[in-house]
Amino acid sequence: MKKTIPLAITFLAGFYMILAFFVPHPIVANSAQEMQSWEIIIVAFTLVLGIGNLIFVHAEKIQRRRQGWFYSLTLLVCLAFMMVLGLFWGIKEGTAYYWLYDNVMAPLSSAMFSLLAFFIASAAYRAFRARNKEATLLLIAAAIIMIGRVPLGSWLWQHVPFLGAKVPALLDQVTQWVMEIPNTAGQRGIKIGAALGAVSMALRMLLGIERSYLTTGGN
Amino acid sequence: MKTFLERLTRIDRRWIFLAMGLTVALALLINVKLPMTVSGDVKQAYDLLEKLPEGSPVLFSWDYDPGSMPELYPLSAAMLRHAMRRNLKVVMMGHWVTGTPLIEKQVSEVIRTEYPGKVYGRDYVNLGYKSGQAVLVVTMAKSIADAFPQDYYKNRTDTLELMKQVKSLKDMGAVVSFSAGDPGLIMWIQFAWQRFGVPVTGGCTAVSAPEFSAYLQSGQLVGLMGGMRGAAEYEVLVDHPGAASTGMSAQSLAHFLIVGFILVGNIAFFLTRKKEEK
Repeated sequence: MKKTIPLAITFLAGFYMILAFFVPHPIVANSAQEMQSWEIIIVAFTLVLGIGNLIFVHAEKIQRRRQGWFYSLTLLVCLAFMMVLGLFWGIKEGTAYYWLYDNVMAPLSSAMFSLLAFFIASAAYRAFRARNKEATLLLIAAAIIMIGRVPLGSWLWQHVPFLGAKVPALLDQVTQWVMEIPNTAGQRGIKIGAALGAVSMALRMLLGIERSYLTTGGN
Repeated sequence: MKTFLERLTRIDRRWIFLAMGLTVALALLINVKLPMTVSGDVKQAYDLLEKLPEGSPVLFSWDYDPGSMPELYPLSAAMLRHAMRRNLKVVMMGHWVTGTPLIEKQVSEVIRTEYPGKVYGRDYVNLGYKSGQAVLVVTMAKSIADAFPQDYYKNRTDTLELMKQVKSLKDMGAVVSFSAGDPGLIMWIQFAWQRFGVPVTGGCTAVSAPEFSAYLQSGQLVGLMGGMRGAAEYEVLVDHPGAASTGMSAQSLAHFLIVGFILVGNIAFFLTRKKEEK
């Protein structure tokens, strides 16, 4: 029963939503719309689950004094602090929540993202090798894009004797070509493959073949 | 020579980090302005807003968080400035819970500072964050007030003057998404454009720009601003140089440094390999 009822709900709800695409009758369309509105509430609950899981994982780490437990404690204190500030004093400009967001969270998140540049530089130096034909092609395309996508690249190209002066827009054109032709062809292949995968996974779930979503980790 | 090349292939990555840090810092300090050419994709997005009749409602969706601020914040500022200048009615919202205060920050920096005559509720509305992603978009196509019963400031949405005219997503002249991933621009294309026919444009981080090329070619996406470069080009179009234009010199030098590293790394790799083969 524990599995049969969820499987039946998935089957009925899933196929009803598909049916709503093909049947424009107001009763079907309105009821399908109503069911979609419920999904907003279900998605909101995933936030609660996420926060609950975060608290559980870090509380356990603190309790068992695992390595770095102090960071977990900091996380939970900050989480509770921001939550209390937001719930009781609001999140508008001028509130303590907004001040902390603007002066602590935003700079920290931006700093984390900016580290990417350092790691890309290091990885490019160590791993981006022309070991074979394919790797060489990728390397050349990447170099063209990196140079062609910044104004300094275009400016320098225009000052290259003979070539740059004769065809000043060549670098931009080549960059555009790489983006529009080989890149788009690859992207289309990936997207079509992913879409077919998503359709087959949805069908497997609706037909009850794929049941992993009913279990918790390891069961 | 061999020892030098071998050492070069095994260089400590902290030297690379230092070189990158110094290059970016130096570029930001010197801030050399380079001529910027506007690409067709950015012009297309600009034209979409430019050609809308005055007073048309547009939806701006802040689908990013502070992590992508350096690339997307200048773009959202430039586009918001453009919309305000053109007297478009802007409905703002966000799909990323940690990014919602960025809307408030942008409203404060662009609208309240540069356009103090604009009235909240009449010229612009901030709906804030709501969970639901694609379902939320579909619900908005039925009724925005159903999807967002309250705005960011806890006003009832259906009491706001602008929202009395703009009942559904289908009333929008365009949807603009500033997107750092999912949920973001792709979701708006798939639902707002594909299902309800509302033109969609927007910007994304530089790393995710290539995945939108197929949507651009098919016309499902009207223009695109990729990364800081896209934002800088938009700043040129609205004639208001800002953070993106300043950041382009740093990005230019960083790109050249990475290409330089790739070259040096490959030269060292080939020379040491040849010596080993001998």
